[in-house]
Amino acid sequence: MVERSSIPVHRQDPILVLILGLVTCGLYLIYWNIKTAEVMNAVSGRPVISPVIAVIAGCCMPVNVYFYYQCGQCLEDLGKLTGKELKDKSTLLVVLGLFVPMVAAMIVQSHINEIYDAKP
Amino acid sequence: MRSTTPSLEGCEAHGLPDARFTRNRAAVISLCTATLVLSYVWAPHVHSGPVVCPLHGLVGLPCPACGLTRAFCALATRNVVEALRQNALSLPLFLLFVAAPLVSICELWRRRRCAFYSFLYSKRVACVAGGVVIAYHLGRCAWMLHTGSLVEDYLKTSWTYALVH
Repeated sequence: MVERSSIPVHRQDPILVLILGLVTCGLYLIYWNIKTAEVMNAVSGRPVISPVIAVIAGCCMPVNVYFYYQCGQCLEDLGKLTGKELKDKSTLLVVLGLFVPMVAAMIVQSHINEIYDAKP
Repeated sequence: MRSTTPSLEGCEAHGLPDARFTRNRAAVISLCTATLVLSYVWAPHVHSGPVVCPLHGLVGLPCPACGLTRAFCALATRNVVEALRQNALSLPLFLLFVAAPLVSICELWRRRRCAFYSFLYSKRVACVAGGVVIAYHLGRCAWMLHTGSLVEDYLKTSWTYALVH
């Protein structure tokens, strides 16, 4: 079982992710991807998402789709940690990641925030 | 050569891959193959296609990925110079798209993860890669601003500009 204290802090308002993504021409999403990969790896307790792939995802659409596919798979582990039943959202995130990646990022961010909001 | 990282994703303690291992490799193979095939098929029509990048469409500015579709189509037709002109990041990315399915097939065959790309899990390598991408993108934007293509090719072709005018 993964300790909640071992999860790196990556708390952010999902709306801010959208705004910063737009304002920085998508460059913020590269940083966001690295931090998300870090959190997802900690949540799963093993390296699932490569941080380098997370960087590439920020500048290549097919890799971005793969990144969100892996994030969707990790949500199940995230649900176990927060005590909520989260289903595999890979399909939804893949579709959103293909057309509106910032919305997919907002969904993932809102789930990541649940880690810090949930009572221990 | 056997993997020395049994804790990695998809590899259970006994060394046999789980369902996620197979699913992820299948996703990589299909995604990369589809991208390469589409790049070749779409090549004759790439310059007449619509704006699909939400950032380009809404804000009228290029994202780090802008130009990659045209560059991939150019690479699929063996036009390396044109690909580099569109987006220099396309060359290493194209090589990644060629290598990734081959590595995935090899891993599915061996039922074990290869260890040679464990550097991809290094945060330091990720930060360097991120720095290179950001520096390249900022440099490219500055060059586009200098040549005027930022206004002509991006701002004036955005959805917002079309809506206003």
